[in-house]
Amino acid sequence: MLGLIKLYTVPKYRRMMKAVAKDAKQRGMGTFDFMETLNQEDMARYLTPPLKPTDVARFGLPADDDITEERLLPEPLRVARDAYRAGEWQPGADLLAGIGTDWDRRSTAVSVLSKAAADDDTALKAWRAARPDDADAAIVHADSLTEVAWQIRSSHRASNVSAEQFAGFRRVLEQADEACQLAADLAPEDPTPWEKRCSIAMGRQYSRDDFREVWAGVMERDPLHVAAHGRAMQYWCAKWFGSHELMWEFAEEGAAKHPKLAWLPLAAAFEMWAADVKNPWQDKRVEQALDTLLPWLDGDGRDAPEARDSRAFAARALVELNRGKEAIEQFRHLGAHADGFVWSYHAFGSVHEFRKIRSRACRLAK
Amino acid sequence: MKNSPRALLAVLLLAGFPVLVLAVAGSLIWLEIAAFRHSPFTAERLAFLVGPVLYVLFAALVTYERSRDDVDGVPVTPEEQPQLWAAVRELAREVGTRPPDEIYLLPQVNAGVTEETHWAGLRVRRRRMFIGAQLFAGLRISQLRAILGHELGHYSNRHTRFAGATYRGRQTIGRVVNGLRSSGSGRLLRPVFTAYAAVYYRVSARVSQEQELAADIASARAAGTTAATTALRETEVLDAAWWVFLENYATVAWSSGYLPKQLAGGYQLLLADETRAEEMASLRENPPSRPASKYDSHPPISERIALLEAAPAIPVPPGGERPATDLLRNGSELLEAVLATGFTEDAASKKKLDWASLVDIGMRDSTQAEALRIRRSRSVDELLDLLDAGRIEDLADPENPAPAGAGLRAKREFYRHSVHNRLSIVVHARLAKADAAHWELSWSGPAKLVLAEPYATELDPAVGAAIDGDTAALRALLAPVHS
Repeated sequence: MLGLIKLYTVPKYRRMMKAVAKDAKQRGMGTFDFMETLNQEDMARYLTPPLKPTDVARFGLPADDDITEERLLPEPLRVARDAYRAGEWQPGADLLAGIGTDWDRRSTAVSVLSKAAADDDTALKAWRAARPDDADAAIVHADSLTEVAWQIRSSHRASNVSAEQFAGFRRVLEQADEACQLAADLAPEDPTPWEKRCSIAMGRQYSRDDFREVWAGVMERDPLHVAAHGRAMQYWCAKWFGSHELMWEFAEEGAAKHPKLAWLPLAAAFEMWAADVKNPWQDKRVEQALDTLLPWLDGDGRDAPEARDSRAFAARALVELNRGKEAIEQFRHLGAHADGFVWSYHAFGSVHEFRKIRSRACRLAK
Repeated sequence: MKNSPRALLAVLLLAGFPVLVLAVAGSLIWLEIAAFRHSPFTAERLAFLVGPVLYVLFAALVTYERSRDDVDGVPVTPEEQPQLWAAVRELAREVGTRPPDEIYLLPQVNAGVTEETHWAGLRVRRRRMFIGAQLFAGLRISQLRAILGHELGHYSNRHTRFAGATYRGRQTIGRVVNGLRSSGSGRLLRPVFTAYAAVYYRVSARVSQEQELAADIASARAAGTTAATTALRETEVLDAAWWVFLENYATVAWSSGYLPKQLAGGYQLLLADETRAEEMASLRENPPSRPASKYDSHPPISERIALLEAAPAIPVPPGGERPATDLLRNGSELLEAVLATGFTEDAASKKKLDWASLVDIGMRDSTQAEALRIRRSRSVDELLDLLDAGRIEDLADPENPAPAGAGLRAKREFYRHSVHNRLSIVVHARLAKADAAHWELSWSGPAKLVLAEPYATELDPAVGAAIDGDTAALRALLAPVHS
């Protein structure tokens, strides 16, 4: 009873109930019937706190309402993906063939096509039937299985995932692992299957030694592979199979290799923040990383496709370090797409998180 | 005598119990009288509530004053079972208490001694011993002696003066609270008495635990240390095995109207199974280290074993190596009769079958029932049509829908496994009807499905193909058994 009174009096719950009622109406359900279908995590999404209005236009930034979580893709990739969705595999195949051994671009293209293939594998089936021994089709197939596995599991916390979901998750992930190894056999020099296996290894709970073996597979083929470093960094997080120390060690080692990997310490600070460690950004390692990363983003990395994630990390770190003007500069590059990994951890969604940090940047820059 | 103040308090609380019952009853009567003066109409309505409650309370008072259990089980007289009686009398003498007046065999993995009492358990009329038939089926003589020695040990007054009264008090109050649970309007008052019982249990818990340990010592003294510890370990195994036996074997064809001819024999075969031996051995080695429930008077088994093993070892008297059934005359018939009393009255109407036929019939019928539930009045052909149309979710378990965010492929993968099982069940039911499938009993695990050829080799791949949308092979396989 007290709970019910709270729902309609406390402002944040009242706002939540308004949103819930609206969605319930859309589905033609009663508000409380609809609420019963939601679990805790779904409910949390309705608790989105309001943002202070900020004059983002003054800084030449897109308006809050225009922010989207849709990924900003390079034009050829977007075209290939849309063609795939329409049932044509040829443009995607051509794109991958054209990318050749630019492994970072290849990894991104495979991910995008795989996501589309996870929703509908009609075109993929045709592709594999037409080119049975094609390494490109094989890796898209393998990565799409990983995506399917995660759709079965859902991103909810383990306690909200049913036993059937877990069983399906493990079954499909095992197939994904096997498919990756087949893809690796078809293209022995390609690091992509090994990179994809790094995240499969997490879902399948590989031991540290088994994981190191997969990691060695990436390193032999491309020691500077950006996406693989991101995935391995997750493995070494305390919340997965590592610890804060192992994660930092990995991040610093990676960052020292090349400026395009200089974002790793920022990602480490971000994970510390997500693990509720106090003031993780006020760290010398974060500032040193920015010293390397920012010039690279302004120079060689300006148009690198994998730089969007780095930029988002940089923007976040700069805000946390009260360097508003520099942060605004990064937000200008990011535009209207809240597609960085750094925005993705929040119950209220990437768009909300992006706006929140951006609005802080604007206030700091005033 | 070290627990005497506590035990004395427990006895006082025990004596206070009828006072509580009378106080509650009195206030109800007073309420009724007051209501009657105020408005007879209200009083009349109130009477509907008060009447049954008063009945329950007075009934409770009577059960409380003198415990007379409805005696279950099969009585065995000294004339029928001289060896058993001799063993029990000898034990009672060694433990230092008087032997029971009656012995009953029960279908339980348990033993106990209870008393018919007056004055809330303070005066005793008859002492009864209950022995579970399962103990005979699974223990050696020395181990059974240890268990019975423990139960008799509760009544030897060597340890604390009020020990017996406290033990009986727990039994009595527990009985009253349980009695209130089963009667409708008594439920309204249960919280009051449950709270009182909780206080009593708390006060007497330490006393009871000490008593259990003291009874263990008595048991070891009479039967030997290893007999006492192995008996404790073994009863855990017997209990776990009994539930497996009951659920997966004895009642497998219950709803089809059958029971096994040889209950005790089957139970002993399960206990002797080599595949299960490992599981049982691990349970034997790692007995539970937590008490069974908050109200359990026993300390955890592992603790009891540790205490027994820490004390100076007492050798096991010779002659205890034989199976406990050797204490019985016509043991197997007697155990069979006792175990049969464990079922509800419907059991009498069940036909008796040998184990192999029982399991086959039980599995056939449960598979048919399950297939019916899965088909939901759709024919097998209709199910296959659905698969051809790619509508796998229509065959899936409606209780387990795919997660909300899953795409088409993820849904299909999510359903694939359970639909494979469900379609297999439907097909097995069909094959069993056509006598191309039957089930074989196994004491090591679930009954084994045996398919005739070509089904044994071709059915499973055909089901898999059907789930992927190609039902041709499965249709061809099922053509000869089409009904």
